[in-house]
Order: sequence, then structure tokens, then C-alpha cells
Amino acid sequence: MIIINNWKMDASRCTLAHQGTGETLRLGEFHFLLLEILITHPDTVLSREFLIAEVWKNRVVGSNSLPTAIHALRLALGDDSKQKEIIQTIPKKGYFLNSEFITYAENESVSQPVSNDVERLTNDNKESEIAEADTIPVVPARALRNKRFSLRGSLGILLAIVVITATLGTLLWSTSPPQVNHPEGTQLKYVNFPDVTHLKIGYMYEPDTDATSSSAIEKNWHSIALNLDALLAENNASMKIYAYPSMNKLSLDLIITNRCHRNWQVMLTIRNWQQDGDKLNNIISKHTRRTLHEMPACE
Amino acid sequence: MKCQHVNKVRALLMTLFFSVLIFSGQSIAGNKIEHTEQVQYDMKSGEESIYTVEVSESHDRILALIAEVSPTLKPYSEFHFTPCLKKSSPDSVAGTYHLDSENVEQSDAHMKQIASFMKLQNLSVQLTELAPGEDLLLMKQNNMLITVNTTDTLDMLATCKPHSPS
Repeated sequence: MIIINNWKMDASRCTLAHQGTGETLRLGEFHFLLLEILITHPDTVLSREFLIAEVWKNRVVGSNSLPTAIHALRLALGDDSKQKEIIQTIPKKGYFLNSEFITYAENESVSQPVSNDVERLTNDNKESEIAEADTIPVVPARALRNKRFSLRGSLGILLAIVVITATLGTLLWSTSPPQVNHPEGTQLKYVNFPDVTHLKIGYMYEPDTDATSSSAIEKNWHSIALNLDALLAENNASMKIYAYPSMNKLSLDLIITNRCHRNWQVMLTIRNWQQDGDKLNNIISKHTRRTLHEMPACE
Repeated sequence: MKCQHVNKVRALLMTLFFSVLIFSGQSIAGNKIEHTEQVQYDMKSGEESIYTVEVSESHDRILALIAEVSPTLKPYSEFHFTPCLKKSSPDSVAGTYHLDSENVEQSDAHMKQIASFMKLQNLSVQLTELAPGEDLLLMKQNNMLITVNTTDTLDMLATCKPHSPS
């Protein structure tokens, strides 16, 4: 969990939640991505060209889009308009984010914001059609309605429910399955390719985000898995891969076991991994092959 | 003859005892990883650097040795951490690694930066058990994964107590 100047980032919802007041701000996707990129390079001056390339990729961007987005982030983070201490401008060079304002805390169970106020900052960036097209529509915040129960009128019904629940609970107690706790933290899941026998692939995901990841990974990784499987079969070896994809970086952990059961590990971090699937395939194959060749020969 | 018989039984028992010891030791240590490399590759620029990494983990300390091997060969830098981990699910623990001390090669600008960063912030980590004695370590600040061999179980690793107010 990343907290910047008391604002907790929630990547799944592109929001910032204030740790003290509970106020929630929703950022546009580009604004949130810009903040993530600045945070992943704290205290490093990032050029305008780099930021535009990273945030807007190959899209055509107006000359004011980046300064406007930086301005919006400063407003969101409570960065004083004169001091500009959190996101600093380096004239003719670019911007950098001051790491003194970043705190990394343990993940905690998702707490509901105290306030239902949802503001939208991307409106500041009306000049940028792209940003507007990509921002997430704001869901109007609804005040929670307190339902009042009349105990007098509902007493009989409540008693009946309690009696029925208690009876059913007693009957089902002996046969009820063990309670499954809601998972906390990043979870590990394995992908199954029936035609791949020398390779085991697992990936890390955040709870509540895995509705479609499994099928997406199965689809995108099948050709890579087949290539690696052939390479491993050729060398009478096996491999386990653990993957943790993020927006601009793919982290892989390869455990390669050769035919005499020796284990070597390659922690492979690939930046800008989404650019080219074939190239990604080649990089993973290259380092698998290299490692297999560098491992000591079996006696 | 009796002594010989007793000696044979004793030898058999000793062999069995040591076999059990070796077997249980292997099962606790998991599949031992003999060598670890870290490769960083940028698909846009084509830049690549390779490091050799050694991590040893127990319930009260972590030692990490890291050295760049490509494109230049540099001496090892050394980092000592104290873990503070709690059980987060039946098969994982999560918490922080606090940098206690480091011995960084002064000519290695990259390692100096990393050391400075770790003096400012604890590393947020999660360990997921893959097999007995084998855990997958996720470092949350940089999203990196590494499999580590450990002699301690998750319950033994999850020993962090809340800080008492000073």
C-alpha cells in the first residue's frame, strides 16, 4: 500500500483516499498512471518526453496535457501551489517526485472511505481530449440510507427467524464445510496447460481482481509455454515460473531444474513488457537457454 | 559373535538414524537453489544488466549479497535485515524487512542508491509457501519475486510483535 502525503493510493479504483479525513478523490486513468510512474522513480528527474511516452504511449497529446496533469496531481495531493514540494519542476529537464512524502505500508483490509464525496480532477484537463476519453465515468455518490425497523411490528417475525435459524444451524452444524476465510494479501494461482509437461506456471494477483486474469494468461502465455516446454524437453529439464505483472514491468521468477536435479534461479524483470509479445517470448527463452547451458554439467 | 551381532544392529540403527536425519533435512530445506541471478531488461531501450544474488532467510535475520556481473563485474554489496512478519493467510506471511546494516561497494552507484532508499523505507514483503522450506518472496516496492530456501516454517517466521510505544 502506497501513501503519499497522507493520501492512500488504490490502483484498482484509481482513487486516492485521505488517511485522516476519509475523503476520496477519483483520478482519471492517465493521471493515476502518471502518479504511479512518478512514484516508481522517486527522486529521479523524469523528462517530459519520457512521461508523455510512458503515460500516453503512442497517442497524440496536446502540449499542455502533461503540465495540466501535473497541476491536477498537485491539487489532489495538497501540494502547495507556491512551494510545489511533492512534485517538483526542474526547468528544462522535467519533473520529479520527492520520496520524503511517500510511505509504504502493509496492505490492510480495504476500509470504506468515511466520506462519500467523490471529486473528479480530470476536469482540469479539458484541453486534452485523450484524457477525457479515457477517464472513468464518475459514479454518483449515494448517501447511505438508514433503515429504521419498528421492533414492535417486527418482533414476531424476528423471533420466528431466530428460531428457524437456530434449528437449521443445529441441524447443519455437523455437515457444514470448514469456513473459508477471505484471502488477504497477494495470492498465488497456477495456470494449467494440458499440453505442457515440463513447465509449471504460477502468477500472483490481488484478491478480487482475478475474475478474468486466469483465462487471459492462459490465452497469452500458451505459445510462450509451448516454446519453453520444447526447449526444456530437449534438455531433459523442467522449470517453474512465478509471474507478477504490473502496468509497465513484468517480474518473473524462473526456477530451472536440469536433468541431474540441480536448481538455478533467474529473477527476470522486464520493463515495457507489453510492447512486443514475440520479443517477450524470445527474452524468456534466451535466458532459460543461457541458464541451462551455464549450469554445471551432470556427472 | 554376540558383540558382532550387536555392532551390526547398532550400525544398522545408526544408518537408519542418519538416513532419517538427511531425508528430513532435505525435506525442510526444500529443493535447494544453488545459484540465483537477477536480470533486468528494458524492452524499449534494449538495456540489460545481470546481478548475482544470494539470500539467506531465518526467523530473525536476512542476509542478502548482490553483485553486478554484466555489463560490468563489481564486488558484492551486503545487506542485513531484520524481519517483522505476521501470518496473512494459512500459506503466507507478510510484513517488513528493516535494514540493519549494509556494506556497499562505493564504486557501485546503483547499489548506493538502493541502500539509501532502504534506509528511508522498510521493504514491504510477503512470503508465500511453495513447499516445506521453499518460499516465494514478493517485494512490494519493486514487485520483484524470488524463491528463497529457509529452514524455518511460516509459523516460525511470523514472530513480529506490535511495537510498544516508547
